[in-house]
Amino acid sequence: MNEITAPLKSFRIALLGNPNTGKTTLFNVLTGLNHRVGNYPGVTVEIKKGRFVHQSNAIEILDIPGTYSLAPRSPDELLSVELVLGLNPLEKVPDALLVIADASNLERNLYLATQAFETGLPVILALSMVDLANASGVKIDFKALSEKLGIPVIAIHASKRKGLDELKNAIVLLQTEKRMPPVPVFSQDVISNRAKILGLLGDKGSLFLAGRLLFETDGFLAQQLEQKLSLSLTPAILESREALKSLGINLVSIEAKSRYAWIREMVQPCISKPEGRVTGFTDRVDRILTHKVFGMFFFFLIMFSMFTALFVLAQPLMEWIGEGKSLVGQGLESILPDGMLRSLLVDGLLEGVGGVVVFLPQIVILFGFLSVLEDCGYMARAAFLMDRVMAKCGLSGKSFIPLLSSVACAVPGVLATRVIEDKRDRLATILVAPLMSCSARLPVYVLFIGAFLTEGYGWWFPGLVLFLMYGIGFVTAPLAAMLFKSTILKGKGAPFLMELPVYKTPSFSVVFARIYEASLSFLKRAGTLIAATMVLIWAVLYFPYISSTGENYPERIAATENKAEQDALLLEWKKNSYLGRTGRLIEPVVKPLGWDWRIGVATLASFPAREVVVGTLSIVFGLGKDAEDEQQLLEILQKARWNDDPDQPLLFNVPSALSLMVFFALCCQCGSTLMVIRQETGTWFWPAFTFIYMTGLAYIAALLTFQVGLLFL
Amino acid sequence: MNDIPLAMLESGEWAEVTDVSGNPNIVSRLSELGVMNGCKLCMLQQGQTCLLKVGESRLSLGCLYSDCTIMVRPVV
Ligand SMILES: Nc1nc2c(ncn2[C@@H]2O[C@H](COP(=O)(O)OP(=O)(O)O)[C@@H](O)[C@H]2O)c(=O)[nH]1
Ligand SMILES: [Mg+2]
Repeated sequence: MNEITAPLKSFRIALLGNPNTGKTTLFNVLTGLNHRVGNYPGVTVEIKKGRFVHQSNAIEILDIPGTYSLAPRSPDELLSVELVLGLNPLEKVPDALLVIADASNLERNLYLATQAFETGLPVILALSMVDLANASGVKIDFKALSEKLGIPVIAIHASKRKGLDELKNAIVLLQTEKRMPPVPVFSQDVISNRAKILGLLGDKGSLFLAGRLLFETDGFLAQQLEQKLSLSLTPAILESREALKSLGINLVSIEAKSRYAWIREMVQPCISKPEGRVTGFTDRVDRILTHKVFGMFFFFLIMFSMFTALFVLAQPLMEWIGEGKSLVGQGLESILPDGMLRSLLVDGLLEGVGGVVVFLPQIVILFGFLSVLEDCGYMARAAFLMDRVMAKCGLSGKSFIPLLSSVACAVPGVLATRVIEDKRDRLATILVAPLMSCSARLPVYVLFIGAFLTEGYGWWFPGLVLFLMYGIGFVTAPLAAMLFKSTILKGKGAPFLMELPVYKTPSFSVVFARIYEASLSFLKRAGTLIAATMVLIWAVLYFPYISSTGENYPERIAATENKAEQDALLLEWKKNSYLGRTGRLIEPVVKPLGWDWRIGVATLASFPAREVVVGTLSIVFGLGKDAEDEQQLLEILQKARWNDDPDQPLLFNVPSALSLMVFFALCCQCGSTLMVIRQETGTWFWPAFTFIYMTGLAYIAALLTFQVGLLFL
Repeated sequence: MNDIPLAMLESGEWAEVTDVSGNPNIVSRLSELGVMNGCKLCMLQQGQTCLLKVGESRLSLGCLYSDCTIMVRPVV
């Protein structure tokens, strides 16, 4: 049989589970789609859909963000609940729920399952991390548990592809044989009051919804429901709540109490645990890594090694790519005739795009490091350690993960803020996330540190400077957040409440997938947005090539043999070009920063995407250079002089190199980030605000760096 | 009574929760994670932001004490 004979209507299941239970891993192996897998609560902020065919049955599977409970308190969680209950207008109600539970923490994970049992949909229970449970001495009798609950219970290890066929069979079987889950037991008073509310809900109702309305005194969902179903439930709900309160029942805690009691009753006969208090591997490691003093020390050590590795490990790889680029350039020059096309391809595209692609090794190392930290469980520890610091800025440790993700790229960083429940905290985090030095700033740092802060210093010095450049973001972002939180976003921060996952060996495929995805999107950007900008920059620097007095620069340069005369002509040509004219116009603005017009236009050109600057510098400083004096951009910059005049002083010194790096560290030069801020805040005000405050800040900081630097260096 | 606020528990000490009160949103969220009357927990790292072991999970809790009070009774 094949897909043609498969039923047209597919069976829809929604995947439900606590954060870090292996939900994404299962989704990926079931559907074959590759997605990023994160190892801290709530990384799956978008809904993913996939499908697979098993025994000619088409199964559609919906991956929703991990959650501890179906009582939603953040936009993230609300979405999950709406999808599961079929309240979202965009999606149909699922036909069944697949709850994935971490076997090493079974009782806590079953809390969510008990809520799923009340939705009125069939439920399958998949148990992950059975290997970890077994390793810590926990034994679970799956058969007994399945009998006790009356639903399929299947042990899986998704990354090892264990238990998958059994799981798929169980899903397929559900289509014909509906085994309904048990109903968790509450006290008689709760049951009768819940039934009253259920009666009012009509055909959209379920025990679960009725329960939510009863238990949630200021619930998100309850408000939504009243609007969606346009029912006036309030009087009945209030009456039931009063009735329960008068019986001495605490509405805030009764739900959890009853559920956990029921879970214990179900699970206890099916599970055997080691006696006494066990201190496992994670707890022993955490004694050090979460310690106030030692933990902080390790945190800085890890950060510092990451930035040193970026330099030391990437160097040889970058040189290979650079050499490859030169070879291609020489090849092109030998086959193409002198003229505009050759100039466009070699000086424009190859220099520009090649200049950016050279930084691929750094991207690989950075994303590799971050995804290892994430997948082994360290990221959540970093958030824990940083909570105290973040609290001083009016934020919580939850803001730290988006900020650290922004070290890779602000776009996922801004998306990761969805886990922050408090609206003001979330907005403050979004506004400051782009201040963190992202991987697109790395090329600028690497280039300028390599050119001006490496020779004559110790081997550890470049890494330290790079670390300090990243430090600018790490210091400025919290300070800016503090400022926003005490002015425009005044309000008390939300409490920090986060689960720390167990430590585990990072999974190679997870890390590899993340690196691969990041490299691919980096290369794609280089091939599209950056290439297009490069061609544009090349063009505005090439045209007009005939001066106002009617001289044709390329022809005159070709006609003369005198090197000095060639250089003079070239300089005149560049200055006369559209870009040169713009540059001279803005030179008064950038001169106080220690920059000439060429650096000014390169910076201006990099506002849509900052990594363009390296390529632009290659073009601006290198246009028309002969193949014989083919130099690396780094050397060209070291030797560049004001006005390109050999009698003038060197263009760059340590203060001006630093001022450029500081400017790039703080400036908002990324169209994608502004777009994602617009998407997440729903208005153009906040992206405009971000752009203005960051650019202003960058200018002032660069000015101070240069002027103060001149006094000391 | 020998009940003390959670924050006073030393690192490494075990205790039984005797009362959780305050902001209902936080109280119910804590209870979903297993922090409620009668549960046993261990203070792994004491501090303004503390790290607790509750059942098999590690929870970190920060600047919570103003919104929500957790009273515990140390157990050996
Ligand atoms: N030991 C073990 N690790 C697993 C298992 N399932 C998933 N993982 C790992 O757990 C981590 C978190 O998984 P992920 O799919 O991101 O969880 P999610 O947060 O629920 O989406 C990843 O490193 C997975 O490789 C399992 O059954 N056993
Ligand atoms: Mg996930």
